[in-house]
Amino acid sequence: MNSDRSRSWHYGLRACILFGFAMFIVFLVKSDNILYYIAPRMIIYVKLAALGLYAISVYQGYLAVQTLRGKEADCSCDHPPSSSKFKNTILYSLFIIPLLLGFLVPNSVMGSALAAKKGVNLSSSNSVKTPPATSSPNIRTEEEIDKTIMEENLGADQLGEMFKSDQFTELYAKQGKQLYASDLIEIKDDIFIETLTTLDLYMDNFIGKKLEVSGFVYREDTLPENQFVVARFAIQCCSADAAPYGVLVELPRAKNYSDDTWVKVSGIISKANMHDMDILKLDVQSIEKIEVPANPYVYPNYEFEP
Amino acid sequence: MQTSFVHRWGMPVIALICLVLIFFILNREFPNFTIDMTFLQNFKTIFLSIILEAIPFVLLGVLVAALLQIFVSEETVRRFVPKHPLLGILFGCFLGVLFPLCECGMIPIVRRLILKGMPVYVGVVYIIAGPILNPVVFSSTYMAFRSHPEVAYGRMGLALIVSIVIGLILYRFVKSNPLRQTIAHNTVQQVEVHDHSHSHVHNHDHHHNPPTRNKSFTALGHASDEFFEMGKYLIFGAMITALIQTMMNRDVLVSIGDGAFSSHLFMMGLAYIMSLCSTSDAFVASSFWTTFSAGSLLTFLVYGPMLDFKNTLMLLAVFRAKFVFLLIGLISVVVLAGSLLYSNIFL
Repeated sequence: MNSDRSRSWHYGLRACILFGFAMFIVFLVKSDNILYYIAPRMIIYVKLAALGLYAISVYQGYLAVQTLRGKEADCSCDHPPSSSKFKNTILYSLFIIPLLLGFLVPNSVMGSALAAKKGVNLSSSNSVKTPPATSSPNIRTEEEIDKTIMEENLGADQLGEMFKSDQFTELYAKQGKQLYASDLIEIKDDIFIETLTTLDLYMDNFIGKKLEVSGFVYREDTLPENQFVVARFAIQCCSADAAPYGVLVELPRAKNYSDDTWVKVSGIISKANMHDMDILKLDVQSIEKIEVPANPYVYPNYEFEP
Repeated sequence: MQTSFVHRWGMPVIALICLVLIFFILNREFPNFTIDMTFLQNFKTIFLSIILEAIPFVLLGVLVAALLQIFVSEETVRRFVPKHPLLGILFGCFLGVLFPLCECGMIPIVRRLILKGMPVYVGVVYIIAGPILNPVVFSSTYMAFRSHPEVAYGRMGLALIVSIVIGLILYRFVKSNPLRQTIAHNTVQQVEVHDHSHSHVHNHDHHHNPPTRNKSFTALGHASDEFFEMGKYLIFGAMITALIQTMMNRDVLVSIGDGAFSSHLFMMGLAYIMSLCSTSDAFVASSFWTTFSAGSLLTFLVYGPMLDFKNTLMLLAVFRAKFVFLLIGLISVVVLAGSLLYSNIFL
């Protein structure tokens, strides 16, 4: 029968599309490029989905063969696919477009072009900062201070005074004290956002300290020639919610570093003013170009415990 | 099902594209815009990441829906849902605590439950409350606004109130069946049939199958049909969302949303076009903390999960267009009013 033929086509095409998606996921996982799309904690679900897609694809393939042989599909309530060629073309191309894009367009790291659209966050403590008016009566100097820091030449009282905290910024104050004690502050990938938040929150304490950070070069139109931003994209679930975070750096030869170059910079922390807000600025002492790291993105750390 | 897809959506889509283009021309963004490789790659990254992130949940949704279809009787569904409307609505609100799914997975399940005799208002309340009122979303909101727990509590409270209000309104005013019945069984009915008789007809359909062995296969068949049904809307939504994200400057948007009232409207618009998942939108919202009032962020956090571009398209796959537009209007008004009220009292 004619309609059997066309149904068989539908099943076959669906089997191919589902198989294509499953293979695309496998391909991404194998090449580690999945990190360009999905945060690590979500990857397991995507892997499971590949299995599911594969199972359904096999079943659709089976149906295609059965229907071609003239056997009725076992569920008569399957809705017969639309008979219009035009509509079917549109329907299936909707599924094929992402597959084509996936296999043909090379995977890429999000860079300064997207950062410009999303707007780089240069003062990451925004959501932690409490307005001074309400917070000042509540500020209590923290009493528990790491023994290690006690033994440093700075007195505990003095440190506590420098890193005042309320119940919400306690962790940051604690990390702040640790960072303050070190000669060179490194912004590590696994606590990137948290460290930036601490530095931003207690900016005044860190002025004059040495800091090292890596990321891609990003320029805002308003920046002078000797400045750019070293930025990283932070991802929650998938690249659609990526938000760029960064540090403003200043160096005389800034022009030599084009957008999206990955660099590691170290320098002395100072303060700058941008859009009427005090932000952290790094006066660069040394800079080197680096390879794009295996995982270019950073993620909020839910187990942040300095 | 697809019969009306092009006819129905052709014009609105073209209109939408024109609107977007006009927006860019007005903002003088257009002259710079060329399809270069970076643009294509960025578009690809966001487009595919939305699809990849949603696929597991859509798949889970259609599988659960298929299993419900085959293994759970109308009797059971009716027994589980409280008879009393208010209790039913509360049941819908807190179903998300038991089944914390995002909206992509929820919609096929709810359609199946409604076909199985769950009252429409309970199902819809689950669709709008479920993505917010669940432990995963609460903890991610709490983390994102560590120093402002009132945002997390406010989000939960406001979502609960809004859902109850909408549930009551639907209970009172929507009597006809809003499902697009044609989807799964377009051969069975001609006219609008009450859902009870509908499911009866359907059950009958299944009786000629040998009971157990084929059942799981049937489930797979249903799941795959529904996957394509939902998938086309999901992909289309992801495509538009990715286009907007790669083309539109957020700064341009921010400059629109100045002012106490307009910032609420702006945040609703932003939530709608960004189509973020409810577990991750809190962090995006927290980056707006200094630019926008807490109240308007609350609007963003409550409105977005209930309604966005992606899920509007998916709702249209399941419900009649008239009902979806009614729902959009209702959610917009109630969320806006609730959020304004809330921020005037508490914030």
